[in-house]
Amino acid sequence: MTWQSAFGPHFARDWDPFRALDRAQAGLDAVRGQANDSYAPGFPAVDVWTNETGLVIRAELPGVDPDQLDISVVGDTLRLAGSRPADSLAEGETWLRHERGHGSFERTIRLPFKVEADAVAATFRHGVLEVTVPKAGAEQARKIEVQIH
Amino acid sequence: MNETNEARTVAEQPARGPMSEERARRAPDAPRVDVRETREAFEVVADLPGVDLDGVEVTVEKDVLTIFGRPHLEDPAAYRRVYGRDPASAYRRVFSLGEEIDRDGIRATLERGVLRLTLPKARSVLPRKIEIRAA
Repeated sequence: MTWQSAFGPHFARDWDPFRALDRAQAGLDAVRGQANDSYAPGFPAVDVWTNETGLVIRAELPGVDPDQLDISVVGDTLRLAGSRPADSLAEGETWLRHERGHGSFERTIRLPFKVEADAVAATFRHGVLEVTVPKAGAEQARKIEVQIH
Repeated sequence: MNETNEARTVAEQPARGPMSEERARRAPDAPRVDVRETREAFEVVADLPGVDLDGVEVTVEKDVLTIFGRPHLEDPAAYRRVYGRDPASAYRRVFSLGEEIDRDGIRATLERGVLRLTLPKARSVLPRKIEIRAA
């Protein structure tokens, strides 16, 4: 019997921070009764991709002025904050539908590795933010040359 | 101006770029909208993140206004997704227009993934002030 089977299949996998985040978000959505409610905790929805060099985070932020976006990396945490101004009604105007969110938002994402902070890059196109977060050099897999004397 | 759930024919060009088959097959999402009525017009604002000018289509057919958008979003090459869900394959929202809208005067702009439509009211329904002349 290996130590893994002693703890059941659940522990056989490495702990995956993104899976944990997903579960936490699903729990929040269930409590609120509505998924992806704008400007509630969890806005904006993010997508994360990874490979051995780092990860890519994408957030949908339609109508947000990229100059009003604040993206920072402190330690192992990436913080994404910004705001979208509210459209106001002039006299004699009425909302027939008012579904789009407005106001300020903040989202922090814990990163599973150390980051090359100076090399973090972001693009904003058609209301979609994409942040590329490279792993710090020491965190990348290294090939060790074997020296024969 | 009323919303209708009835899906009408819109040119459904195939999805561009690499997109999972599952995502491409998925029915379009309904984008979030604001609709504001002013004295002279109705204004519709729709969130269409990732949609550029090539991917957006606004059509008026008889009394049906359709907003359609295809986001230009490809998964980053050589990465695997670890969190999140597939974005919308497309956006669609359909409204029925009353007689009070001037079809020829409809204008639209798209900026930062937000579509703004102005649908002017027909002259016949605009409030008019009747000038009273001394008899």
